[in-house]
Amino acid sequence: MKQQVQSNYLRFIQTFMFMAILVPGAARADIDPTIKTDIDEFLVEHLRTIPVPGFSVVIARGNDIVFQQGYGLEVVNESSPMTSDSSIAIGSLTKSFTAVAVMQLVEQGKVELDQSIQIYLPWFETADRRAKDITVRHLLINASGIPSEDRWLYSRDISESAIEKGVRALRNNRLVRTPGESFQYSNENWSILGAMITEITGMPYSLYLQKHVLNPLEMTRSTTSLDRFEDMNVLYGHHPDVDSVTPAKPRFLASALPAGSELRVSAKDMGHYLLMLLNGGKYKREQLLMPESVEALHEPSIDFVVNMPDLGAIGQQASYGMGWIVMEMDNRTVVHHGGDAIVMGSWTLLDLEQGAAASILYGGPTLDPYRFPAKIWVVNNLLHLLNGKPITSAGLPVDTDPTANDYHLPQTLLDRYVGTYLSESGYRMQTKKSSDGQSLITQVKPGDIRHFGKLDFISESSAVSRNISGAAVINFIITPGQQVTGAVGGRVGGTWQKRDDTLLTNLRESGSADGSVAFLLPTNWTIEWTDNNFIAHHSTDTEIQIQGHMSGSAAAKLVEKLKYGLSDSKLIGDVQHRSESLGNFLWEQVMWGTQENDNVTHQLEAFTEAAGRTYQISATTRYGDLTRLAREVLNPILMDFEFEPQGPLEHEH
Amino acid sequence: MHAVLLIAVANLKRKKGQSLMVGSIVTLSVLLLFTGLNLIREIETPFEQMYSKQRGSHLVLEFDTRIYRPNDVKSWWIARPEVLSVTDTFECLEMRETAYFNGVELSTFFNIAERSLNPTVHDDLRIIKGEPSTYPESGSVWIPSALANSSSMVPGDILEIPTAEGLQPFIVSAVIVDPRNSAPFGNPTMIWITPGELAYYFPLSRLNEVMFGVRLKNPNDTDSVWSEFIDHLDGIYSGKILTYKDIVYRYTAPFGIMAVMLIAFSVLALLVTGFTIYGGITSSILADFKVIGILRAQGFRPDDVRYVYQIQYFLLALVAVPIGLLAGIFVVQTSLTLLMSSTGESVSFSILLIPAVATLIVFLIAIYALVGWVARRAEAVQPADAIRYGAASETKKQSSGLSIQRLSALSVPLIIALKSMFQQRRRVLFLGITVIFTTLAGSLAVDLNHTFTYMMDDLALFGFDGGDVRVTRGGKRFSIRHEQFMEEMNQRDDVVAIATWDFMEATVMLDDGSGTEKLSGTLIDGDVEGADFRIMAGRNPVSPNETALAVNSAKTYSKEVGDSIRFYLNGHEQSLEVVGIYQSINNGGQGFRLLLDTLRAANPLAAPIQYTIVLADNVDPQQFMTDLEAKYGEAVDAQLANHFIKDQMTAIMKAMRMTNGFLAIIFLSASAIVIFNSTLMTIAENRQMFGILKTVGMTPNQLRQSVVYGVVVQAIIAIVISLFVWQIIATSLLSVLFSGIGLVDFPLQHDYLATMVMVPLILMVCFLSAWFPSGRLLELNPKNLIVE
Repeated sequence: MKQQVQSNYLRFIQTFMFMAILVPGAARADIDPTIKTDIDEFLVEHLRTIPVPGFSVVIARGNDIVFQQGYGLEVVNESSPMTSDSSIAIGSLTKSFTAVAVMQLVEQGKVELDQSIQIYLPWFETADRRAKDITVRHLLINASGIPSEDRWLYSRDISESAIEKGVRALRNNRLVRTPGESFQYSNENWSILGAMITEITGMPYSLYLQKHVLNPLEMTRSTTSLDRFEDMNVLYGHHPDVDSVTPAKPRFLASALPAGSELRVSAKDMGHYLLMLLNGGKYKREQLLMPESVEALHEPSIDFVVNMPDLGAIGQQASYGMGWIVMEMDNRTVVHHGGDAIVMGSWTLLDLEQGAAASILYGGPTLDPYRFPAKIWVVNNLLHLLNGKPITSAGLPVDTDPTANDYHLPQTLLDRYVGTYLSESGYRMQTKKSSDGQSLITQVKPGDIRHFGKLDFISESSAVSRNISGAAVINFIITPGQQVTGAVGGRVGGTWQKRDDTLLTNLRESGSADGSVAFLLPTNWTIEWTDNNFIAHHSTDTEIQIQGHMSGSAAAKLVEKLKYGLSDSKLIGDVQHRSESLGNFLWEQVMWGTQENDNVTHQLEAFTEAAGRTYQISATTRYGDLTRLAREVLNPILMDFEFEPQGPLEHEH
Repeated sequence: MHAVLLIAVANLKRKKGQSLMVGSIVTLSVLLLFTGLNLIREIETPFEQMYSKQRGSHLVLEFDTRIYRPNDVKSWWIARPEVLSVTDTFECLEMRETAYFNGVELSTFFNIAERSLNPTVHDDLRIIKGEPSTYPESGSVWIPSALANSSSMVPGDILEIPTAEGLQPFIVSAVIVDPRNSAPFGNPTMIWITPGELAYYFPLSRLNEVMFGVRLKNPNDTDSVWSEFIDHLDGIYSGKILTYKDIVYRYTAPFGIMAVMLIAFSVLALLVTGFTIYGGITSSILADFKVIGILRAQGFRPDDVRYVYQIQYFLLALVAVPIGLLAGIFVVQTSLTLLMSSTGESVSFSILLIPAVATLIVFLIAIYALVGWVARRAEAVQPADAIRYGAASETKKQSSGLSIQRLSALSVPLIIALKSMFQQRRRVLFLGITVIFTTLAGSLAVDLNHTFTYMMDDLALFGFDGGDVRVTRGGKRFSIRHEQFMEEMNQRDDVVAIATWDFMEATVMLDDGSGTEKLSGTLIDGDVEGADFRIMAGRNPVSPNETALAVNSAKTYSKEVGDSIRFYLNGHEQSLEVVGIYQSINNGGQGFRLLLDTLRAANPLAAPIQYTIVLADNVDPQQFMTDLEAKYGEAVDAQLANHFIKDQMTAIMKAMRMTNGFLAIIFLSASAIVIFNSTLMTIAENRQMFGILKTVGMTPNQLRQSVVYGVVVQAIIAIVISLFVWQIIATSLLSVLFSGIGLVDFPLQHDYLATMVMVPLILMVCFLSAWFPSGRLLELNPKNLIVE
């Protein structure tokens, strides 16, 4: 069945490529029709070779947008075409927008690049008290020494204060490098800058960006503000599968990260941005930045090494400017930056000597560079074509796929790898036989992200999980008795324990009548269902109880309510909060203890969302038992939790 | 017999100086031997006392509940007849990140466990600092005494522990003695938090581990019960296990070496004692020759004469040995309390009483027998000859063998000192031996200290490698490949050599088919020789079917160069030829080295991430690291080569310095006493001569110099001899002592600078030990002396 869907999809793409839907663009300057045709054919061919359903491009030269167009579809198997107005998450290219905003404040004299960030964010602190050594410039060039933990990546906090809360949480982090001494790419740097913008201007980051960058550039289909997503009909991208893509759910976003990676932009809008960058900070009559500031953005400031096949660079030396990478490509210096929003992405390349720039915005995931041409290869060659030059291989891998092999695992051994693997990070990896029984498929679904891969064994203990996004090595742990007991690596990394299925005899499946909610519960627990809500408790110990409840409220709101609403109760210690990916869902968790007379209880609330609904699980236990309860009962429930809401939203409680 | 006793007592009173000297030496050797023997015998006592009082587990099992059901595993143990009790199941979590105290990163990794609400059946925790409680309060942590000692943490301090949300401050609410986890060299170490709060601070997905302890009726059953448990699991247990043997080793292993050193030196001290007694009796017989003759003439049998000396020295020993024993008991108690301070226990007087009585008896018998043997010379004294000629005249006639003409260039006091030395050769010998041993003890102290300090600069000597900088290849987004990094480093002028040193684990398939054992080793690749991976026998592996074994692994698996060993690597069984054996202090001398290609046979994409880099002579490692990180950014993380071992070595060296310092002080004291007494005896025996010399015009100061110069010359000669001897025997001696921890060819580094400081110090002690008693010469009245 799956194969049939895939082949239908490929037929559709093949048909579609000849249509090459041409959407009226905003090009203001004509280019040689031959060149335009070459560019178009090049992009049509590119669409044909990739499994992403659609992309849009924009090319600017001098003062003009010379080409902008969408190719393919916005959503696989749907009819809406990709256009230059389609809003796509550009990922880390957002950093360059934040850098523009900071340089505006520098020009206004509100910020000095070499001042300590604590001058502007007095409350900002790190665990090792070295925050004072971090300057604004260090943050802009990714040299603050703050590690890239991306702890907020799965946060569901959608409030405007998410950035500040995230940055304040850095007080628990230590620097891994001396500020200013070396390059350490980190989204956290940009969230700090976002918080600084808010602190100085009194405006939320998204509002400042809208008012002072996006609006002056007439970027009407660009935003970081969630409120506008629906109105703008932004795209939500696609997950990678083994040979195809699956539409992503319309909610993936990290609210604490907008300053670093969460801007949605259309190709047309990107064109305006490129014009500003190519023209010394001026767009039409708006001087967003002085020419010196634009130059500063592209000035190589700190070195690092690029080892990315999708950049066509293995061990190549490069530099970082402010939100931009500066490196040699085709014997010229180019300024570029890509962005990977996991289910969408982009790449922009500026050839400042030529005064030209190109962007490509993908409606799907980043692709395996050894199987598909990379985005940077496309934008680089768009500029070559624009100049009537031949296509080059710069941006294509300079080596062969190191995972390529001709090893064949004996079919008789396949069964030993089959099973469920549980990672220390809370993920669940299913390894099962393909429908034809000839190979193995792995599936990991951390939060709203999904990773499917076909296992290509390179030895009995090592395999590569392949899908359209690339290859991830998994090393299986095999005992001398030939048992597979776990694995190391894979797409989300870490160590995995293979679950002993005999342990599942201690668990039984339980679910609501309409099938919206299902999970595993210990056999010695009793459960009562009312619609999609349940109350469960130990069969002999009723003091330990777990309740489940489905509502329409956003999990983040419930978390806020809990975290701050509990301040007047008889709390013991602090209220703890975290986000954690468990099984197929991302769970927001709030934990606290209360005391009433001599009765002390621990409580843990866990929330997750699906299709606009929130499912809330509340665990209450007497003092001292929370960890055991979490291990024995909550973990199985959350790890195997299935939640597919049906019908209209319920009345909110 | 009564007469014999009276004469013996009279002799003691008459020869106070000699008695004091012999007695002091006996006391010191008793002290040293008793201390050495009882340290090694009782080193486990504080641990055992603590373990018994706090009812420590003999087996601790920690496992993933996704693999084993806790109740099933516990039930098996509860049902065993050998088992006394099984603890509650504790929720626990092993941390991979390090914690911080006072802004400083701790080198110890933590296991965090939740305490039970109720007291446990065994494995009691004893709070030695902080408020008594059954479990830690919310947000606080209990830390083991060893951690508190090494990091100077006290209740009220803040320990920053990395949690899901970054560093979380925990208040240290108590310092505890934890039977299983208070060993100073345990890593990771267990810390305890309040029940239920692991779920507060750590992701639920990480809450899979539990542990429980098993206390057996007889700890000797540990191996057999464990073996049955493994059989019950069909040969494979996938959790962690801590056995009683492991726990004892953690507490006592480093101190065992020191106790052995003490015993070795106490043997030397016994020799000194023997020589002293021998010299004392021989000189007494000569001095008392006429008296012996008279006694024999009055009817004393030869045996009676011998008895005089035997009883005289027996009485002396009866006083000296108990003093040495009392001092020894004090030293043993103090040392064990200090060394095993993490147990919170001390060794009681009563425990040492029986060994003390035994030592007393053995020493008394030994001295009695020795004196009897030496005093046989007195039996041969002929009364008539002795009364008529005496023996003193013989002694006096003893030629110095020195020609004064030849020494005419020297000062008069020095000439007298030299003549005196050559006339009193036995005394010179005793003094010399004592100073030799003192110098040996001092050399041991300074050279051991220097060797382990030097280890920081040359880890290759200790089985690691000779790199200056260690680099970890990483980078979340911007990384560099193994081959590329190796190539670029090889092209640099400031890099002499680069090799990998990834730690890895393999399973050794035992030859007799009795099972498998896990073994940690090192993945070496690149310029292995340039990076100075030293080898003792054979060579390092150069092809994929070769391996080198660490010396104790070679012993464990009975392998020599040329043998083969079967490894199970990443699901792939490989038979490798043992081409080399290397010594290593790492992992108690257990381990292996193999090449990347060997691993790639199982895992073709394996790529090392840890490197050791040898820098050119003029390159500053700190600058190199800064430049490297500046060039490669997040792709590399560089640290000084000794970073990972610094903290552990600090603890070991602290204990080592304490023991060696004790040894050096004991021997220095012995030297001081011997010289002091010897000087007094010399003055007493030569009072007449000194009187004459004073009469002929020598000043009191010159007389004093003539005594002191003699001692200094003897000390210089002894020191030179001992330094020479130390150069010859040191390596072999230390290799024997340290073979247990993997250093079968001890990489001794002589500390010549410290030796140059030590030598004047010993000389100064010798000088002062002679100078003070020589003050008696100032009181000499020639008139009286000449009349005498």
